[in-house]
Amino acid sequence: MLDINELQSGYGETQVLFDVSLQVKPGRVHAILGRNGAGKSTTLKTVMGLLKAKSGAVEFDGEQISGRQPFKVADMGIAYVPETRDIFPSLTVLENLELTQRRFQHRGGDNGWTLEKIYEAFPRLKERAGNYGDELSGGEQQMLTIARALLMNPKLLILDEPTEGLAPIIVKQIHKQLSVLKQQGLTILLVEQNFGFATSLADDVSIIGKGQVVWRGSANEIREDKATQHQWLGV
Amino acid sequence: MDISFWILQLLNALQLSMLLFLLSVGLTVIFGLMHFVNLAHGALYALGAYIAASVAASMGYWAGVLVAPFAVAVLGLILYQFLIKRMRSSGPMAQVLVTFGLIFALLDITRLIWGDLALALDVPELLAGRVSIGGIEYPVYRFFVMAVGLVALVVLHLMLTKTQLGAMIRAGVDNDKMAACLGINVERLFFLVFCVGCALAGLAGAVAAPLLSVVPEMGVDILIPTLIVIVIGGLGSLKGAIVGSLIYGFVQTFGAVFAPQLASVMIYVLLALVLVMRPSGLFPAKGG
Ligand SMILES: Nc1ncnc2c1ncn2[C@@H]1O[C@H](COP(=O)(O)OP(=O)(O)OP(=O)(O)O)[C@@H](O)[C@H]1O
Ligand SMILES: [Mg+2]
Repeated sequence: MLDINELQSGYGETQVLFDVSLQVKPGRVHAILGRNGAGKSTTLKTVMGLLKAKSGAVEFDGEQISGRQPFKVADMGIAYVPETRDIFPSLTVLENLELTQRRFQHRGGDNGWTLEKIYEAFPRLKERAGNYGDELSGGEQQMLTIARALLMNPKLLILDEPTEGLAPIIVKQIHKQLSVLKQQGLTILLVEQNFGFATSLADDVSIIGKGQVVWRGSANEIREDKATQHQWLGV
Repeated sequence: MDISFWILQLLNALQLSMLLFLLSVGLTVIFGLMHFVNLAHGALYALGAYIAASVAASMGYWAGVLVAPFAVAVLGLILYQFLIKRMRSSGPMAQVLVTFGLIFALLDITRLIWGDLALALDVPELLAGRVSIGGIEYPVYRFFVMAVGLVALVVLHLMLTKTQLGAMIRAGVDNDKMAACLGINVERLFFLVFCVGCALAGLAGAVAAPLLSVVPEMGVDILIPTLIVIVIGGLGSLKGAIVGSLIYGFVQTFGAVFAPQLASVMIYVLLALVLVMRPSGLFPAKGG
């Protein structure tokens, strides 16, 4: 579904990605692991079109998307939950949700995400509907970014460290939500530092080290492979 | 100095504030959304006044006031497509220099078309005359200027807070990259907001025209007050634009009454104070 081929990218003159290739297959959860600064977020930003690739290709659903502007990438059916969450502070929770709900409702068909379903899955958001984005706790913000992304009724959901800095109980809730999404057959690309969280959700795993994919395999394989964990993740 | 004197000053202050609001609101929202300072905003105001005066000369005041905002918006559209769009990725210094240069280009174009002599625009019959209020006679037309500002404030407020388009604009001001990742064509929003901002500058010029003599330099004269308003009010927000305009209008008007010799520096002292205490202004947009 998402094919990243020999991607090179970075910030201005500084090259961060030297050779990133990975395939996210339809209906599967693919985790990208790696140490701080390895280039995981940079990979996602380049896929979204927030950064311009120096070379290489990104294909989505058989179409070339590298070089496209972020709004066009999003429009193709990719929803992105950034590590900075990026809730809009001047919008209420409801307005944050409606921003995607109103424009992407039709994509979902009969089984698509609606406001009601979102409130069912994240009851806290209903209670906070009238609050502004900057009045939310970290956990509420994270639920809101995920909810906002789901309301795009995407084909692919990209999450960048959704558990970072959150209390264990909230991490658990998010884990449960993502498992449900996985069961429903949503394709997910997940970047995580939390090894247990990532490998319990993922089918496939790619490890990025120093801007390259240094290991690829299944979640079960990496759980057993202590040497690789030690070398590339410092677990 | 009796009560009627103060009422007069109050009305003058309000009228100046509303005019400044029409100018500053476009500039501040354009800045909030695009991080782009259009120093030629004042020149568009002057063009609005000229266009209104010319059209009014043959077709009457109301035609002038209606045509001016549209004509200035079209000019904004041309500027955007040929100049500003290409400069979006260049740094602030280049943008300041280019729009600063644009002031002089537009100034010369104005002189070429209309010459150096001042034009006048008469108040329409409907708005001629005075009303008596609190023992003074105040021109109806000045009330009209206040009403135009107030209507613009209310309409813009409703548009920004109650509509989906308004939510998209606020999202874009907060964080344009994230807005784009949610499928919003932020560039197209910029374009729309830019044209509306230009239309408001044109409208401000048109309604201000009967209050002053229409000269090429009027756009340069209004630029500094407009910039002071948005710096005091805080960049990117409607609230900042209206509060900044009211502060400027009142300090300017009442400053001239209480301390005529200090009037011209008072607003700068206030500006400095605001910048020391709240560097991003009183009510800046939340995102950053
Ligand atoms: N905006 C930026 N400008 C310049 N360099 C950057 C920028 N953002 C990140 N980098 C650099 O790029 C490299 C990769 O960063 P990236 O954010 O992709 O890492 P990551 O794998 O997501 O790490 P983390 O787990 O800490 O989020 C780092 O060396 C970082 O310093
Ligand atoms: Mg990261």
